[in-house]
Order: sequence, then C-alpha cells, then structure tokens
Amino acid sequence: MHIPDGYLSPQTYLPLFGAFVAVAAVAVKKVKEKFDRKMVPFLGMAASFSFLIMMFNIPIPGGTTGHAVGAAIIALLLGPWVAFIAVSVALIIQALVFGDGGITAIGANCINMAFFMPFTAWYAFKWIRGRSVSPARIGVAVFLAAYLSLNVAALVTGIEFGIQPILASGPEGHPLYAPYPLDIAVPAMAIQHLLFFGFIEAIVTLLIFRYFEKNFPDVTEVLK
Amino acid sequence: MIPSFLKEKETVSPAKPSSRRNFNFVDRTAKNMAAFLLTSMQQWNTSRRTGLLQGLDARVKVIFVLAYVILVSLTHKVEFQLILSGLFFILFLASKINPVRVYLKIAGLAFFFGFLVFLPAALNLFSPGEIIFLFAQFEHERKWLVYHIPKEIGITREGLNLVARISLKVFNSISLTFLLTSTTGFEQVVKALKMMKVPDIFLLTLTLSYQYIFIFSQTILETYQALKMRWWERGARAETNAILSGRMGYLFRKSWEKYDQVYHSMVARGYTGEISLYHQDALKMKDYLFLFIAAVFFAACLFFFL
Repeated sequence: MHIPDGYLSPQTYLPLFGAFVAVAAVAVKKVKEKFDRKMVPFLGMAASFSFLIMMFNIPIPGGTTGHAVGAAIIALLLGPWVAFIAVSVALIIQALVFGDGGITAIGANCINMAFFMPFTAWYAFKWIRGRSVSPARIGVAVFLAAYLSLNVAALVTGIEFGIQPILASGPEGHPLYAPYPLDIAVPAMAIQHLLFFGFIEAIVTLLIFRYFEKNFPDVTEVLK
Repeated sequence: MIPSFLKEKETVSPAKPSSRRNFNFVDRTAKNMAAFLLTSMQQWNTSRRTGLLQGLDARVKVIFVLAYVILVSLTHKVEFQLILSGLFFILFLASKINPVRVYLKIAGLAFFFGFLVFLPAALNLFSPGEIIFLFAQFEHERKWLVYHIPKEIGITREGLNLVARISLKVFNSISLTFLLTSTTGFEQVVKALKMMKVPDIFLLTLTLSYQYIFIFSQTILETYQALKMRWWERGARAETNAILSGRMGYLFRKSWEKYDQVYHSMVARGYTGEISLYHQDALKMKDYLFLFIAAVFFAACLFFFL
C-alpha cells in the first residue's frame, strides 16, 4: 500500500500533498483543543505506537504470517484525528528511514492510509455498532470497520494508480507513470485486499481491541 | 524463598526443535524490530564519516534530494535516468558509503516495487507497438467484460522501454532517499525540515516518536527473544492470540507511561506549550558551492532532457 516514488505524476502528488497539509492543519487544531500542553508528548506516543503496531506479525491460517497497517485500531483507540497525525508521522519515518514509500508520494500515502483508513474505521464502527453494548455486536463492528477501512484505502490507491495513464501520457500515448488503467489497477488493488489483506487487518484490529476493551476500557476512545 | 510466579505451572508447552514454522511470527516480529535498530545504527554510523555529503549542511542535502526527486519524476528518457544513476553512484562513493551494501538494498527495493510491478506493462496488452518476443497467438481477438485480448500477446519494444524507464525512476528515487539517510542523522533531517516551514509542533512530535520507537523496539525485541528462548510453542489459536494481544497491550501501557513521564519532565524544564526548535547556523562556502553545481546540473538536465 506504500506508494513509492515514480508511480504518481506531479498532477497527482502535488494536490494530494496540498490535501495532506490542509487536513494536518485541521488535525493539529482538533487535537490541541483536547490535549493542550500535553499534545506533543501524547502525539509522539501515539505515532510510535502506530509505527510499532505495523511491525507485529501474527500467524495466519496456512502457515504464513502477516501484519496490519494499524490505522483502524489507532483510530478506534485514540480517535480519528489523533490517528491521522500518528499514522502520518509513522509513514514519514518509514519513508525517511527505510525508504518504504516515496518522498514525492508522502502526501498520497498519508491521505490514503492516515486519512481514509481511520475515518472509515471510526464511522463504520459507529454505524455498525449503533447503540448496542453487546460484546458480539461490538466485535462484529470492529472487524467490519477494520476490513472496510483497509479496502477503502486500497480502492483510493487503485484509483490514484488507474488515473495516471489518463493524466500523464507521452506524445505517442504511452503512459509516463503507473501504466495500468483503471480497469486493471482498481481490481488488482481491490481483489487482494478484499480476499486477503482486509481479513488480516480485521483480525489484528479485533485482537488488540478486545485486549483494550478488557484491560484499558477508559482509553478506548470509540467506546466513550 | 521462591516467588509465587516462579511456582506457577507453565501455560505453554515446549516446542519440538524441528517446528520452525511455529516461530514464524515471533521471528518476523523480532526481525522487524532488529532491522529498524540495525538500519538506524548503520545510518548513524555512516552519517558521521568524513565524506562529501556528510560535510554539507542538512538543509542543502534536503533541498538537493527534494529537487532531484522531482527531476527524476519529471524526466522520461532512459538515457537521462542512467546518467542520474551514475551521478548518485559517484555521490555514494564520494561520501564513503559502502556501495555493495547500499546498492543491494536499493536494488532489492527497486526490483520489487519497480521492475516486478511494472513487468506486465511490457506486454502489448498495455503497451501497443512492435512485438519483439511473442508469447501466445490466438485465431482471433477476444473480448471479456471490459477487457480486450488481441490476437497476439507478447513483449513490445515500447513496453520494454516503459518498464526500464519506470524501474529506473523508482531505483533513482530510492537511491536519493538512501543518499540522504546515509549521510544525515535523523535529528539533522528534522532540523532541515524546519527550514521548509514545517511547523515546530510537527517536528517535535516526529523527534519524540522516533526516540520512543528506539526505546520500544529494544523492549519488544527482548520480549520476543525471551519468548523464543523458552521454546514457546504455538498452541491453541486463542492462547496464541491472547499472548500476542498481551504484548501489544504491554507496549501500549509502556508507551502511555513514557508519555506521562516525558510530559512531566518537559514541564519540569519549563515547557509551557510553546515550542521553538533549534538555532539555525549560517551556510558555509562549500554548501553554496554544492548548491550552485547542483542547480546548474538541474537546469542543464531540464534544458536537454525535458
């Protein structure tokens, strides 16, 4: 899901970077209202937790292992605005230290994984849970919220790839950036996330959420 | 007297030494943490050598990398991308970075995220043109849903050019990121970002979280090593899940405690919520000289290759 440099045209990465800056300004304001002086150390904690959650592998039926993006669980635990900043910082560190995700694509990656994922997870959870306090309903809501959030992010990423041949082509009509059109890029991104990665995200999110629900119910933002 | 927790019966059973698969997720998590620590340490080491880029101000390097990443993205000729690859190789050598080690990493990333992803684009399905390697031939064209399958399927000259160009772009962009991180400490990058008008609040969060990650990576690594040392075996799925979520919960608790401690120590040092980061030193003559050469090369590239 981390888009490297070279995939997106300037017509795509510049507006997405602008969108990232605008959302970041709103997020800082929202978080500051709540945490005031404690905001910076709190965000530092949230960002490092978000970064490290991505490194935990869990066993998956079939003998292999997988890890989650973690944006859904951070949103459910700490709220979507905190999740936006935390996951963005984690993505920036990944790009600058590991070369995981491109420098020009930082805005796009943050919008896909730090904006669409947390907000989808947050609102999907609220909608599916309703006013129920049943643990089973909450569990289903967490699972589906995480599953949906990753698939929405994958869909947006697929669309960003798919519009590249439309936005930037050479004189002979050959694509200059990601070459696959929408009818290839969107199914390619959607199918693997619908059938595989979405379930990993959902399982990891549910596992951690259950633990927090039991041991730290006071800090689970979405249950407040 | 033996503490009570040592008398408790183990809830997990010892694994057979041959059951490697059981340790997959333990190994991989530990490997991820170790990779982060190792990469950061290597970067810290190489950024303190006395090479060309290490001697420059971090702001100059950040400007150089940003400008050249955009240049790589804007130009679409294979020859030009090769010239840039050569330039970055010279910069690695001049900065005393072991080219074998760094290029193994760069080539690995570029192979997976560049070459493999774009290889199918060499087919005439995506890049119409002169077929130079024929894979399949049908009696007539076919149409399936929205997809059009031509009579012949093969690799085209134009397709190969496209794959080479995009793979080289990915390769060069990753090279630039590694040039920056191998020659500049993370705190220096943050310092340079201040010049880009990135808000202090964001920079301080970035710095704090980077430091937290170091502390907690070490903690997780040790926890997982201990888990493995006890020959812990993957038992019932519920048991495995409970242990895994417990590790994540433990991590959260430690993070929360650290956040509280850091906040109080910040307050004790006079933190009032207002943030002002770093004093900026003036650029030196060698910084201006490097910027000038880089700017001239940048302009020449735009003139000849755009």
